[in-house]
Amino acid sequence: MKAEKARVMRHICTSTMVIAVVLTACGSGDLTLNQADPDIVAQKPTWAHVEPIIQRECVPCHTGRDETPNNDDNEGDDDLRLGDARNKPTAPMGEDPGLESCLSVVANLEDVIESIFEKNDMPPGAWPRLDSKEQLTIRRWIDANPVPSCE
Amino acid sequence: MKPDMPRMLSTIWLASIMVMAGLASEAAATPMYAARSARTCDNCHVGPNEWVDPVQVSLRKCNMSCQSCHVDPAGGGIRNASGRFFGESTLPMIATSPRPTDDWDRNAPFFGRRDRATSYNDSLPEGPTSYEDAALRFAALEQAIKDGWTRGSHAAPERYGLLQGRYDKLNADPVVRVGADVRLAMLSPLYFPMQVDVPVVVHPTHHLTFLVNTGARGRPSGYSDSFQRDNSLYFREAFVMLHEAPNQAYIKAGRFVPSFGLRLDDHTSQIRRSFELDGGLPESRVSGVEIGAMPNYPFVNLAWFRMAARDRVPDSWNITDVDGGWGTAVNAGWRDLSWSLGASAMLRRRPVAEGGDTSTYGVYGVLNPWRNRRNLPLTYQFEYDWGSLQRSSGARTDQAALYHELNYVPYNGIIALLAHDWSDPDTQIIDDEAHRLQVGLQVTPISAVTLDARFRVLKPASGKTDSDVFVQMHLYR
Repeated sequence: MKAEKARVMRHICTSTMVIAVVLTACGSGDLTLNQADPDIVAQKPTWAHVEPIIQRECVPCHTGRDETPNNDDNEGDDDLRLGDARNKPTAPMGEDPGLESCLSVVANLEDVIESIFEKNDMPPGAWPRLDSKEQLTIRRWIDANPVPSCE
Repeated sequence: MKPDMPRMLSTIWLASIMVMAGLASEAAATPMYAARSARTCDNCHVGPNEWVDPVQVSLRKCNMSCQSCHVDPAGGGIRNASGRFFGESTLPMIATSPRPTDDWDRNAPFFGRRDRATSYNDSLPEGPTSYEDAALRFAALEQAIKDGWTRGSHAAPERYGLLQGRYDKLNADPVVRVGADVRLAMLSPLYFPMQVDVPVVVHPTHHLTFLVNTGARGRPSGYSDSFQRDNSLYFREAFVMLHEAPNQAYIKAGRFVPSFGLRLDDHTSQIRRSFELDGGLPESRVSGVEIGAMPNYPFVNLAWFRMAARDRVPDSWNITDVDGGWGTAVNAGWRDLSWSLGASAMLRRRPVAEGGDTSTYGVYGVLNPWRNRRNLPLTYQFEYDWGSLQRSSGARTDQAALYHELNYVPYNGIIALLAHDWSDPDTQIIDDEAHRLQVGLQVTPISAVTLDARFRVLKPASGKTDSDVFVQMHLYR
């Protein structure tokens, strides 16, 4: 009976894997969104285009405003300033800077670029990442000026 | 000392889960429950267990479709007496209704024969054997009802409706039924109320039902609105329905989520979210008419509807708040005792500014070998969807998504699951796909409380693979 059970289990697992591999292999194009549909977002997006994305995807965790223009990637320094901003003596080390304002996004731009475009690891865990359109909007906003505009 | 150790460990483990979930949590949908339900008759109603179909198919009420357990024939939300009976007799570790006979020996260690559902004696209740028997014994059966979540009942049974006495002491045919559904979640480091629902069903006369489900989705700060996100209360479902007809046919009109594919409770799955079927979002609700029938094993649901623009939250209370577009959906197939196969199609036609046209098609199915092999408590389900959409530029492209899930039920009230979903939101674009794998444990210690803990891994096509732990608690009545 155990052998029979194992045989059925093996059949289910094998069939499942074959179906999954075949179906998921059907996807994947070969163009970036910028190549496939360059007009899908404004050529020079403003903060008004970017803000809804940041609010929806980042602010639920990155609350607060770290608007210090140091952009120094110094997490400890950012944490202290974030702690001040929250009227607390100190914030826990390792806590990320808040991104609730345009200035706070600009002040932490290196981290934002790293997370969205280099590591693609935000939103974290198993949450869906930013989609192609959201990424293109932020990329163009960053590239539009030497320093992204908050206008 | 030694014999007590496992009991102590299991108690600590259970307490830990409950504490975590108390800080947090969500839960439950259930195409899987429906798929498993056919393995034994007495998980949906009390005996007699003999499965004797009426000769006329149009008279049959037993099927594996959503309406067997839910007031809404398309599934989800408040349950009818049969669904509530299933929730009390079959789902929990400690049953409060007679445990299905097949499950008497499936209790988890140390949760054994103490519950009164496994008495092994002759005192198990028996319901009516037929509609005629239910009509004959109606007064006595109605006298036996003890059900605080319902009010009133009708003067006589309805041939195509649920019969008093068939669901132990639950009121099978109430005039008013009030429910509750609270989902709390923990996704470290966030603890948040996921969702709250208060459904009310009014069934003033046979064949007519009004359902209004008022609910809200939560966020870490509670139920307050946030930037571009409405967290306030709204009518999640609000419709009037004519039903209790031959072939279990129905027609409903109002606000609802169109019937398409497997109605998973996991609203983050891309087979729901990518196709505007995310049960957590008010934007997924449409206003229209749906008709359907479930003549035993075949089923069909057909809807025509209008909707708000794709990214616009419709008015909370005005269910006629729609924009210019329209849509239609059909969901049909065959749900047999140990397998099912279905297909769905949904079209939405609207201006690009409202979200553009979409054409979506899906196939799905279930395999439940447990019905035929009692020592193989496995259930498998899958859905594959594909179709076209318009980007916000107006250009057309295609998308696809896959979900499949394997459940193993080692003991009553404990379900281990393995799930994989994949999506390609735009088949022309490189590196926008993602795979997600989930390993989970769903524990229902007592009726109406389900704890669901999952370890989830997301593998995007580019970038870092990451994981998280998601714990949810579902309280429902």
